[in-house]
Amino acid sequence: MLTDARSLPSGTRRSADVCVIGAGAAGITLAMELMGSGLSVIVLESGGTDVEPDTQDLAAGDSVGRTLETLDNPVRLDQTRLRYLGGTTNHWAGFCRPLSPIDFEVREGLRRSGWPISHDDLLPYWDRATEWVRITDGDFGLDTWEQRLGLAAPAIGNARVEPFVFQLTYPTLFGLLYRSDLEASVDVEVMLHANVVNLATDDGRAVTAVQARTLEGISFDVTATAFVLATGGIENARILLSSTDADDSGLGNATDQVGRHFAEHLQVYAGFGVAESGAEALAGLAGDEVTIPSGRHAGNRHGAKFALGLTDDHLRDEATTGVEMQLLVGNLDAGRPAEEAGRAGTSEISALLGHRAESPESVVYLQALAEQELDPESRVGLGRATDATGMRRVELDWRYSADDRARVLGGLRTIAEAAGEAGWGRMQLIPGGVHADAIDNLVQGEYITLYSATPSEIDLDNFPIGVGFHHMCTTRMTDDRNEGVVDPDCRMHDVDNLWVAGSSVFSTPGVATPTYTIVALAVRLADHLKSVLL
Amino acid sequence: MSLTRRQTLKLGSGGALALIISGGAGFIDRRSDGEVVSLPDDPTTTTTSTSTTTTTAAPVQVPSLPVAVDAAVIALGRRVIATTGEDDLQTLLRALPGIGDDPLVDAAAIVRDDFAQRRTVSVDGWVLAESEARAAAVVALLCEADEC
Repeated sequence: MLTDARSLPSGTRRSADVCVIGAGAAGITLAMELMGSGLSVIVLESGGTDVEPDTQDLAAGDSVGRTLETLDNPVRLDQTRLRYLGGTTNHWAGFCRPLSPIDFEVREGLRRSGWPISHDDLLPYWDRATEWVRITDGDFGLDTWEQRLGLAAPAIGNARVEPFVFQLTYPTLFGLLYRSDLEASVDVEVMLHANVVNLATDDGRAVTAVQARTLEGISFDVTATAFVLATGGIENARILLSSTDADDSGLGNATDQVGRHFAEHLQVYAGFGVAESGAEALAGLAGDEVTIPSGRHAGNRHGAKFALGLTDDHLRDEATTGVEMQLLVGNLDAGRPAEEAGRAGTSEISALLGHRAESPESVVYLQALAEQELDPESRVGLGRATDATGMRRVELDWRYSADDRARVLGGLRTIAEAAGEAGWGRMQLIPGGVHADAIDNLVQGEYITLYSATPSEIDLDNFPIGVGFHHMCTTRMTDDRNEGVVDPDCRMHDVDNLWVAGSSVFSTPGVATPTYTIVALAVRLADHLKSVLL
Repeated sequence: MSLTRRQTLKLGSGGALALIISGGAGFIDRRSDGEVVSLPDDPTTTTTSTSTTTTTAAPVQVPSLPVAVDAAVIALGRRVIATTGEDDLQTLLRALPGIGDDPLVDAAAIVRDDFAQRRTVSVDGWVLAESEARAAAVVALLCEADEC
């Protein structure tokens, strides 16, 4: 059922077997998996069923480290998270891809790399996550998808670079998609407008109650056998740091690990490419739709497309971090960027490749996502200012290093070289020299962004790095409580009845977009809670 | 020398490097639709000496370029020179693989091998094979000398 905390008498105490804090991808998946299990569940959601500015303001905070930005646009913290039913899936782009086996391994030379569980451990949960994110299945094999799409993956590949598959689910807003199931449930109650302000504890070893408050000033609490934090990579840490009943440093923070290792995906507006073989070689990069054949969402259609990434062998051999590149087809004005006079542009490269008549469709925009090495000093902390509930606002000190930047450039160049080796074409890497036109154009019913290329602005030491809105690793999963916050079951090392869900438990970021793995981990956690509580 | 249409296409796929190599074998002319329309069979147009190698200090025979060199390739060559600072024609020619070899050498394969071996150069951000970048520079130098 859906209820509204604003209708509760102040001082109310509610109880359930499981209290889930947050109704985003992780929280709703947990609730849906626990539904009908015999366990009673209360889900506390900060917002309502749509965006509300006053609630959204609770996510605001100071960014004191690296600048948060997307292409040519600064980003505020409260723009990176959505606090209402469905959480940040409400602006999820829908890109699904599992982590790679290498992400779970310790890579020599990369600080705190590797997970305490294996890639194989998560395979069955990624399979089950397909039901919740609405994709075909857990098979991401190239051959499978070439057959399903009737399209060829880009013929770019060597020992260092390989194509891979994204399954795209759209629009998959968990709040909309699962609202009717949640409303109809008798054992799951989603309480809206319930802002958690403290995890009450007597001795720091167990949560006794969750204390919550509405923006109207109604205070209430929830007791449970098990509590799950599922509020995102920043807010999970913020709530733990703010819960100081037993220790001024926060709950479960005796080893000073809560909020550390904050990681984002480094989004790089990398440049442009000219295909040697023409538009037909790009079809698989644009992708197509397929119909889900069976299961909960049978008959629904979703997309898939190919992209390029570094191989596990390359990452292992070089002890480097992951880089993936999307070659975006058909979203450039007349197929080519505006070029800077006096520099080599797509026309020159097209001529080099023997195209007298340049095909507009053969020019692509290159967008890259990269992994950063973990840094304990990159962290979520608390500022001095407080929000409308009285909680201290977030102070984010995001850090990445010159080595991270160098690894990104190395990865991009490795991919560009593989494209040349394969006879695919040439790539122009001009991070810092790509700009979006201020005005979006309507093309074929879709708003697109136009780009310009200014190679003279390339600054390999200081090019802008954007964010993916992927907040990871702030309560990382470890065997050693001195290096992380939760154990392999996602239970807090030092708090017996508190578990954490979401990408804050990622031990190492990897380069894959996180939501699919967030959902898989939530499915896994639901199984664990059933085994513990039933 | 007589080149088949297939051989000609193979040469053409090597970009600027193919231009240089074919400068010894003849010339390629493409229409705007990409169709190869002519290729001289006259062996007298072959000026590349088979006795010249890239390792000798002797001057490398300067190839004669096709009559219609794309201005964009010349512009690219100028950018290569501006980026690398290398503007000596003989030095560039000596460093070019394929020069002095069989004119039917697969220029595209040479370029691909450069990429495979990571012998690349960045010109205004474009990641180019060293061989094709040098070839573009040669084209630019020849054209500036009014030899194209």
